[in-house]
Amino acid sequence: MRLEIEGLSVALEGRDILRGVSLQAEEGAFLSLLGPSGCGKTTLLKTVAGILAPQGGSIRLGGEDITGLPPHRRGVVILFQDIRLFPHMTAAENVAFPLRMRGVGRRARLEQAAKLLERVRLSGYGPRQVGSLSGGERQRVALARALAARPRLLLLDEPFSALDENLREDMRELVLSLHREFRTTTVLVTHDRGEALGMSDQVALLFHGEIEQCGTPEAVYLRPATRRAAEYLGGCALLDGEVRSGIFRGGPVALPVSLPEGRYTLCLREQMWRPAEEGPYALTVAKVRFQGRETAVSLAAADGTLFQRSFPGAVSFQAGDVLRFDLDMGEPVFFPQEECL
Amino acid sequence: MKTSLLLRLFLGAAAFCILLPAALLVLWSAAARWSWPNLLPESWSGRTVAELLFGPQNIWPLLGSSVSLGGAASVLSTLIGLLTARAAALYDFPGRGLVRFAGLLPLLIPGTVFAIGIHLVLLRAGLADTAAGVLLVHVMTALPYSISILTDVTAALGCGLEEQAAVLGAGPARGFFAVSLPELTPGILSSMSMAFILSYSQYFTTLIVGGGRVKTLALVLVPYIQGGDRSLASVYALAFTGSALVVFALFETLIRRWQRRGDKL
Repeated sequence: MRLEIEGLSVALEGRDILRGVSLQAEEGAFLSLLGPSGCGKTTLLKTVAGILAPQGGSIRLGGEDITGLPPHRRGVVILFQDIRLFPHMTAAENVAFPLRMRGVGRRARLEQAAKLLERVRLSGYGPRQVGSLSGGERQRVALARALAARPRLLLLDEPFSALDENLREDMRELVLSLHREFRTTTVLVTHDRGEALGMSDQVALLFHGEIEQCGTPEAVYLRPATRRAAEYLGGCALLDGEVRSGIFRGGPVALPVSLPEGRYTLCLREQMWRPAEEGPYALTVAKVRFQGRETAVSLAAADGTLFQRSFPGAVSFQAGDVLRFDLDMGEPVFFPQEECL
Repeated sequence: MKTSLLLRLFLGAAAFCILLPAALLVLWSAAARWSWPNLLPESWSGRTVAELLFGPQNIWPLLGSSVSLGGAASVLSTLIGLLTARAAALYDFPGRGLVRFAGLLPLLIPGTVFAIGIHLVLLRAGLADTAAGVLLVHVMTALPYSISILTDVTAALGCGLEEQAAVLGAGPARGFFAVSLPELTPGILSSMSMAFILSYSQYFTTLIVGGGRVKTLALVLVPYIQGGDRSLASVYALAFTGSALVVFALFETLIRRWQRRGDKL
């Protein structure tokens, strides 16, 4: 179902957590809500699910205004970060719980639960007490239980953060394959940039209770709307400089631009530095950190500005070497600097 | 090694303090003659048991009234306690701290003062000398304990599971019964036990508020203890503790059985 959030405001204990959040997710879309901890991501999910009441704004699901509906009538399921399996029930009874609430008979619902457990690769786990399951298994039971509710909208609250790195990748794959199969509109809350960019059709950046930017992962990463967005997404250097007579100068960089004169910040993606024998920029290698799949290298310009760039695999140079680069700007991203008063 | 020795010492001391007096009660209740300095009674008799079971002050009506009063008090006190605990632990409202504190206030007043004061109130309300009045007072005595126990367990459980149940399609009442109640059962059980034993052992409040018309086991037991017939006092004391233990065991079995059924409903 299509999700439309319009001007949503939520205050908790007198503090504004969400300030007029507007957000859309198309039917069947996978939207990631990315932001630092404390920015209001979980509050937004809880409000959409009906656990918290907003002070203003509206939430529409498939065209229907659900702002005033109690949580159990919304068809919106949250998969909480702390999993919240019902401890006195078996894995199968947990998965069958939403069916029990809908009045499905015991046999039918346990049959369906067994099928769903199979879908999350837990065949035969039905009779197990949830206390005997590992963290990853619990997470998958919770996922099966959420699907059993046949939600109109599925909300995932940092579901992978409590898992080991290896399990996390497995779970992401599982969630994506189930999403492809069920086409449930899904909102994932995360503070993991790679996760948000890699899994979603749409990424929304939420800072301090406001949506900073929303768009496809490529658009958000390559064309950040604000300096804050660029800083948060990382992988770029922010160069403060000035445009005078059609030339931007900041740090070691000078670029012809078509901007009105004034102070700007250039967002310089690390991959824009292209190694070139005869390149105009000479950068000194300051630090080399081999990380397996790639090597993280710090490069210093003559004026002391530091740039980070990663190279695939191992590298043949070391700290102190001077490398020459070209700049391949593509479409450069500039942010006008706010005037200090 | 050290802890196990400590533990044994502790268990030994506990057994000495509990089992020895209990054994003495058994001996006294079956003794016909037991004079100093004999270690054991010289002769035995079933007189006290016959008195207890068939005498003019026999135990059956007393047991009936004590157990039903205690049972009713434990259910009411736990029910009110649970509602108060949910309000105090899960909801945010002005004066929440005051509610939590006010729940414990009855503990600050000495029992005798409370009994005499409440008697006046109940006289005006027409509830003095009635079972309902006695029940009300027993519930008031047990409530602080129920509220305190249940607030702790409710706060520890939180509302996480109910939130999860709600988003999975459970209405508020169903969510509570299906998900929170089974988790709260141990706390509910201790609250009921506590309330039961408090009601079961009330003497002064029952005497004042019941005006002698509401008879309980504790009410009859005290005069026997003061009366000097050690054998008779012992047999009533045994009947008192024994019946309380039986009701305890009954509570526990019933609730465990219910808990096992709970998730299959």
